[in-house]
This record gives sequence, C-alpha cells and structure tokens, in this order.
Amino acid sequence: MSEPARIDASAERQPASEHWLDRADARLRGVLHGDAQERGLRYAARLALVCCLAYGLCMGSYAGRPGQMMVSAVKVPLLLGVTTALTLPPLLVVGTLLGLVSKLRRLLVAIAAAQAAVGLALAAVAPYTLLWYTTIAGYPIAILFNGAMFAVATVAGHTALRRATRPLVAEAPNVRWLVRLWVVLYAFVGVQMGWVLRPFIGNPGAPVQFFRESAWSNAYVEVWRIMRQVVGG
Amino acid sequence: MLIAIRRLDAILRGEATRPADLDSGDLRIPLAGIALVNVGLAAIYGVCMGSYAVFRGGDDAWMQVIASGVKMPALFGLTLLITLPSLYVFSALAGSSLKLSSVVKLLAAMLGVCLAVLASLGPIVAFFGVSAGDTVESYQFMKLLNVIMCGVAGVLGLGFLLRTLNRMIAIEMYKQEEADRAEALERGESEVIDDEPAGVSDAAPGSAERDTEPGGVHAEPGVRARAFAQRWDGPGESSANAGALDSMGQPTDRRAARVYRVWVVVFAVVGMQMSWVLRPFIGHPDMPFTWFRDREANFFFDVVRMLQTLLGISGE
Repeated sequence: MSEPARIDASAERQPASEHWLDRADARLRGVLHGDAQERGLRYAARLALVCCLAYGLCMGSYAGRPGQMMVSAVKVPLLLGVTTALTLPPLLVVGTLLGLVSKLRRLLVAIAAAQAAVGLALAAVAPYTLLWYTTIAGYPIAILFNGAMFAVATVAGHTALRRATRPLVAEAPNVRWLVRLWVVLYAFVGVQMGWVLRPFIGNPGAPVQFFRESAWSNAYVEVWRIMRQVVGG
Repeated sequence: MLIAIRRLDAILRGEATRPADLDSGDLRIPLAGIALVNVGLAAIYGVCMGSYAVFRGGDDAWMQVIASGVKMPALFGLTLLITLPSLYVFSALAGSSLKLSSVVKLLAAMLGVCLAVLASLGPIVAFFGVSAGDTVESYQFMKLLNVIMCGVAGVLGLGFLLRTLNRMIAIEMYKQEEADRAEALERGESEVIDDEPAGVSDAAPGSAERDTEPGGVHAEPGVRARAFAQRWDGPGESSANAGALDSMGQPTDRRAARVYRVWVVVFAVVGMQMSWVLRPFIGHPDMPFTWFRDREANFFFDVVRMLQTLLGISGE
C-alpha cells in the first residue's frame, strides 16, 4: 500500500483524532443544516440555552451593570424556552389529529434545531451588539439594534426549521401546514412574551429590575394604541 | 377513566375511526368515560379563561376561575342537549341509518376532539390572561382571543365529525350494496349488478368473489370494512394510517351528509348564543363577580361591539 493511501485509511479508522474544533464545526453545521438526529435533541437544547445566555449577557451590558447582565442572561433563554413550551401542546394535539403521530418526534428535533439556530445566530451577532453599545450612544437606538439582531436570528431559525422539516414534508405534505401553524402561534405568543419579560437592555435611568411595573399589559393592544395615536395625530 | 383517556387518544390519532373499527356501524368508545374526560378538558380550558380575573385582583376573583371551570362543560353539554334531538330526527328523516347511540357516541368523540384542542390552547390563553393589563382594550382582546381559540377548535372538531360521518355512512351503504348484490345473485338477476349508482361501481378487487361465497353477506366483522378501505385507498396510501381528519372519498349519502352540515352551523350558532347566556367567562376588570349577567343583546352584537372598541370606532 502506498504512503498516501495508508494515511487516508488510518484517518477513516480514527475519526477521534479529528481536531476538536472540526468536531464542533461538524456538529454546529449539523444543527444549522437541519441534519440533527434524534440524539441531537439534547445537544440542540443545550446549545440554544448556552448561546441565548451568552447573548443575554451582552444584551444587558448596555449600561455596564452586572445585575442587568445577569437578569438578561436569564431572560433571553426564558423567552425562547417558555414560548416553545406554550406552543408545543397545540402542535402535538393538532399533529395527532392530522395523522402525523409518527412524525412528531422528528418534528420536535427539528424545532429544537431551529431554537439552537436562533441561539447560534444571536451568539454570532453578539460582538456587533457590544460594538454598537460601545460606539453609538442612545437607549432607543440600542433597542432598535437589538430588534434587528433578533430579526436576523429569527430568519436563521426559520431557515434551519425549513431545512430540518424538508424530509418530513416530503414524506407527509401535511407537516408543512402544521409547521406553518406552529410558526404563527410561536410568533403570536413570542411577541407577548418579549413584551412581558422586558426590559432586556435596561434603561440607564431606571433601576435594575426583572419585570417592569407596567409589564403586565398586552403587547398587541399597546401596539394598536400607538398606531392609532400616530394615525390620529 | 384511564381507558377513556386512551380511547380519546385513539380518536385523536384516527385509530378509532378507521374503517375496520367502524364496521359495526358504531364508534367503539366508552360513552360515559369519554363524557367525563370531556368535562375535565372543558374545565381545564374554563380555568385558563378565568385566570384573567385572578391577576386583575378583586374580592371574588377566584370565584371567576371556579365559575368558568364549571360553565365551560355546561356550555358544551347544554349546546349538545339542545341540538341533538333535531340532528337525530332530521338525519333519520333524510335516510341516515345511524342509530341514536351511534350519533351520541359520534358527537361525544367530536366534542372530545374539540375540547382536546381547546385544552391544548389553554396554557396560551392563561399566559395572555396573566400578562394582559386591566384595561378595557385588554379585556376585549382576551374576549377576541377566546373567540378565535374556540373557533379554531370548533373547525377541527366539526371537520372530524363530517369526515367520520362520511366514513360511517359509506360503510353502511357499502354493506347495503353487498346485501343487494348477494340478493340479486341468489335470484340470478346479474343485470341488476350492472345498474349501480355512480361512484360505487369500482368495487375492491376480489370483493365480488367474496360475495359469491356462502355466507358472504354475513361475513365476520371487519371483512367488509377492509374491502371498503381497499376501495378508497389510493396508490401508495393506506386507510390503516389515515388520520382523524383525512378524507376518504366523497360522501356517498348526500342527503344525510347535508343534514349534518346544516347541524354543524346550528351547533355553532347555538353554542355562541349559549356562551352569551352563560357569560361572564373572563370577568370584566371594572365589574364585580357575578355568576350570570343580565339578558341583553346577543353574542353577535357583542362581537361587533368588541371589534369597535378594539378598532377605536367607539369606546365602551
């Protein structure tokens, strides 16, 4: 056997010798490309948790207060986790009704992969957020910037979800409708969850707090009221 | 109770409404058990609805939770009680061969589907109830949210009803067709067989051979249903894997199916008015707790008023 051929064979036999960065890269790509298998459920959930926590720390660092950083680090994973938990029961019941029981486990893995993709995207843009905080002053514009970062992460999550559910849709076209329904419900609940859990950034003029006194209100009613004020002058 | 929950699970999975299970012309579900599960599911959703009042505070806020938990099962039970007699009588008049017990079980299963969907949406309603403010707009939002949730559950439940009904009627007609065919063969009038109604001529392969066998008309349970299922299965599809909402062909008895469609509308209208009679379910933030409110207007006027308040056309 020639020398290069021997090296190739040994590389195939010993995947453990692969650099840990390459292994991490393969796993992350697996999540982003929707290749996460059933055993990847726990990995995807852990990844989402760690990445959201990291972004929360950055998000809360606007006024340089460690208390707000800790609070935001808890809130960002809560935002994604509780929203997902609230939208899973209807997903499971309607999925069962549509005759997709055998696909639900894989769908849950796909949803976990999508959450991990959201978290990864947030963690990836966290340096931009820090750069923004240090170079551009202004609380309202910081809110807008974070909104834009969340929008980018949402697109990443949706892309991962679409990729992960593609084989399922090929097997059962009804999965597409179930996923669409879930996405709408997730967005509907997520908006209110984000509203209730604010502040994430922390106004420098206000004390650090987990919930605002005015947290208990309806996001949609507030948005509608603002729109009416804008239109009505 | 556990058996009833398992049967409800089988209904949701579509396992209880596959042709092989409907061969006897009946849904094999424990009626009392399913009714109990339905009451439990309705109470869960009622509690979620009433949670809005608890977080707004007040002396009797918890009473609203209890009241809503009691009123939701009453809402569905009373609506069924009012609409069931007319459904049975008119469907029988229209020529449906479904027995009263079969109709009752079918409706209990339909309510099970409806209430399972509602109960699964309950945590979302409770979350909005907990986090919504105590303004009139947020109260109107909660009402609109509950109307939408009930609408979604209603559409899925009634879709299940019509699909299952189609299967049951089709199996009954298939049985009748087999009996007629066997009778015609006994008489030697094979030309009668050729004169079949449209849509039922493509019998399953081998079904004619079965009919010629002695006792073909009284074959063991499930045989006809399997033949029926084979007839509906498309290429690469199997009715054994059909979901509860999957269609298995067009209704074969259009008159009876039409009665059920009309009943679905009547059920929805009566249900909406019944919810108006039994209000409040959520609890107005500016009003004290009361079990029932005065009779005024109706559900439909209130929906218009609710939309007007939310859109700012006129405030309350």
